[in-house]
Amino acid sequence: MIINISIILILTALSVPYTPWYIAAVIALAVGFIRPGKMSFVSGMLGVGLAWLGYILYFHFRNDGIITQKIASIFSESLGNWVNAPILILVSVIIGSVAGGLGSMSGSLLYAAFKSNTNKVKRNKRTYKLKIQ
Amino acid sequence: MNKLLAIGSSFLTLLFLYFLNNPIGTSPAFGTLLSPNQGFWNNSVSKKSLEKRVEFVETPSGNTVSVYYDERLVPHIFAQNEEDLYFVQGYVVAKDRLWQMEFMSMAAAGRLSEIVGEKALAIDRYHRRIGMAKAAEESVKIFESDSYSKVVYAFTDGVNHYINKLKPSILPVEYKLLGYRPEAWSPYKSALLMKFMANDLTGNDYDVEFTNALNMLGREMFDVLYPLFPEHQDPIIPVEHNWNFTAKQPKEILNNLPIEEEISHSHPYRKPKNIGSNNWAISAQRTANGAPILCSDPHLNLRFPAIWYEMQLSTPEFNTYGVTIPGSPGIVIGFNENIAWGVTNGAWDVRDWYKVDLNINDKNSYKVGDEFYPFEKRVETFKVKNGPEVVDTVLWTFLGPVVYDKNFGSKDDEKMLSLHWEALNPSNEAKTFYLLNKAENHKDYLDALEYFSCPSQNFVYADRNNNIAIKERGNFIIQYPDEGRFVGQLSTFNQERMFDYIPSSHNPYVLNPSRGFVSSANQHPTDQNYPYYYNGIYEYYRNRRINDQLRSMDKVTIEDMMKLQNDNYYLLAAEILPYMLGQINMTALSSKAKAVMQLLSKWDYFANHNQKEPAYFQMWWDNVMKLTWDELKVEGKTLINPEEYTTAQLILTKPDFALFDVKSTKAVETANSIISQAFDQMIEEVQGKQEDDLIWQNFKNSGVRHLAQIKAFSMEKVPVGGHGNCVNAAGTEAGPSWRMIVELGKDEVKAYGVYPGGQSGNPAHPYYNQFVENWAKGEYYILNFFKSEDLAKKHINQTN
Repeated sequence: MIINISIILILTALSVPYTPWYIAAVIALAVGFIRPGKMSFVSGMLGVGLAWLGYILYFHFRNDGIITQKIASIFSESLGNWVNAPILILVSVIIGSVAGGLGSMSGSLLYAAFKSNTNKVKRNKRTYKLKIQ
Repeated sequence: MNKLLAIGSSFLTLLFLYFLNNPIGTSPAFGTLLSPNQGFWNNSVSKKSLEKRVEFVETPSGNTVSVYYDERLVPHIFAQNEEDLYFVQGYVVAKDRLWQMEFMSMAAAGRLSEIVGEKALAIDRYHRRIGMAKAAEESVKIFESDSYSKVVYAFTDGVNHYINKLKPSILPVEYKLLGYRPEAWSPYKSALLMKFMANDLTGNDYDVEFTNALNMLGREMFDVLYPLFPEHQDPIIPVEHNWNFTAKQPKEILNNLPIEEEISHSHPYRKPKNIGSNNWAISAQRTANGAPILCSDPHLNLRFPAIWYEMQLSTPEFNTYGVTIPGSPGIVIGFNENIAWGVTNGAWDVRDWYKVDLNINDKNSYKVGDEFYPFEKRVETFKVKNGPEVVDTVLWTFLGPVVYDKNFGSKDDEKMLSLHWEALNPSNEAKTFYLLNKAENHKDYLDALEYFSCPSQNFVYADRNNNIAIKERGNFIIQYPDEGRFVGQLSTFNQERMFDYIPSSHNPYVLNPSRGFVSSANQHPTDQNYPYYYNGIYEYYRNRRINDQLRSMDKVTIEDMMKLQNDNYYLLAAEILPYMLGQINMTALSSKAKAVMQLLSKWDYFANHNQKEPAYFQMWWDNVMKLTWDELKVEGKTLINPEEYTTAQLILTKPDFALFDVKSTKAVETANSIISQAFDQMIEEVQGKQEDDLIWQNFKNSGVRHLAQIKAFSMEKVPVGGHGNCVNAAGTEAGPSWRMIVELGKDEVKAYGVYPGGQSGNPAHPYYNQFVENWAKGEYYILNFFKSEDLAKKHINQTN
């Protein structure tokens, strides 16, 4: 799992300045497909989430939190006072995490479906051979 | 089973990505907006980036131009020729203010509903119907026929150079929040902005209201309530001035004005009242340093980003500093090594309404004399965001657009009003500023003003050779008495008069008057002796205070000028409050009322931000106005109250005047009883308020508000004193948007300035609202006017 997280994290981090946000899900899906497993959702979630968290905290701190606080108050106007800067960071990271988790999980499940399909074909062939004898 | 899970999971993923990648209703796409890829996070600014203070820009001609940013982020551009200069100006202005200039041009074009949806549709329709877009299109043709075209095309290319470099991640944050992208800039957009400013400054008139009032009250009463030349005025051109010319006579008109029917229509919005300005210049003889001083403070709606942007423009031929309007080349208010200039609104009514006589047999034509002319039709399409396309067919007469008809604002099917507005003629006001930037003397100044046709503006001037002057410049049709002040009849308008202007040399103008200063604050340009008829909506207080102060000053210093620009003396209160206080019977008062009375009795009439007296006075006076003019508040009738000045004069000279009677009561009121009633009402209102709400800065709530009304990017309750009627004209929405003081010494020009905002238009920038505090306190920055590129370099290195 650690390897999955690391690969997703590195690839996502490299792609952030050059691609739209949903590419993270595509990366996670690819890694989930190539290295599937039960904890795929968690790997995707942590891989993308941590990459995004890194960037977001960098942007937040280099600006002394000005942009975070101003955008948060735009949202708190319509959604309520509970929306503040930390919540905004959290929600941003969650979006990335969910995209990564779902992508990775889908990749993993797609691999499982692909594999069982191939095995079914193999089993049917052997049954036929026995029958002929 | 595995297949099902895989399909389900993939579907869920795609659903999630889809919903977060697309806007839902008016909300932006949250996935994009909140991501570090292209979201608002990228708009954050690091402190380190502020240390980079030089930028090198490659121009299309292959040169490299240096831009030096000083400690307040004011760019100083040193170019070798004009094409390079204006290219870089476009680039630099776009870098800080792209969203703002684009948004303003969209407002002028009537395209805001494309960005914010249906709520802007009414105002878009109004902006298209008053015809600015068509006027801008025709103005571009003028640019192209002139040497000026190289200026506006270079500027356009510079802006587009910046737009083309923009990646989605570094788009200004407002684009991300509102979910759209910048379009290419064009000379058409620069022309639109100039027309939009003309609308801001002349887009308000009372022709309809005056016509209704005249028909309702009769001529005698009308003249008492709305005098053309009220008494005791201090006009821009001093009263002693001799008009050394013979006036041209107006060409014949075919009937008498005004129309005798009632007009009523609704408006999507009304221009706020206190948009005006102050400017003045003092001759060297009256200053301490023996150098003339010029001051200019334009009053506009206070917005983030600020309407003004400071910069220095320099080529080997000229060197100028001042403020520009993002989207248009050149410096609008400023100075160079020889002269200084500033503008105030002239308020000369150049916007006239005419009732259209529809041809009852063919509604596509209208009556002109004995003939019928077909309407020109302009189909306006509105691509409303999240809504269906809307189409509005606007009819045009030879005079201008039919703004109000049964499809827009007119309650009566057949009552159509066509607008005749000088701003709708193609023009190139920007060329005036381009020429002023290079002007070296008084003749250059007058030549530059020839290109300025609308709105009427008072151009104040001073130069190193100790000349001071002021000219109210504009294209004004030679009119008969009453013409243009009331709604006229289109069918009898003589077309030959459409461009029959007062010659520019007859515009109100004075050079080096004996009193040693020139000034304007939106008051009457002249007294009744001026040989041409005109009307307008004029100012009655700031101008008299300014002139009183200037007359009484001797050995004027820069500090004196700073004090005057920030003067909070409330002349209206000084003139009427003593009388009002005299009408209150002290014995019958509650303790609260007694306390208020005592406070007001001791007040020195300075409307400072931390006092309560201005709030008490304002509430009391507003009630007096309301009670006095109850007759004019008629359901469905379009009317306007008389000026505060006229009301105050009536109270002081005719307290038994019939209109003071409140119609809804049996008793007959006079001014004195109204004042007393208004006081009681004020005390009642005060009981319902918190103590803090009565502090002037909270009561007045002067703010600097974001252009797209985003509260998080705005400021409220700025601690600044003053009022629209004070020299420090800080009202609720509008106020001094730039304060500039320039001393033109023989060897050196010294200048000071401040505006309520910051150079960067990025809300995340640490300097976004950098200047507001100093502006509120009445403090100024020294304007860095570098005589050469080397001096600029030296300064940047020292302050970095």
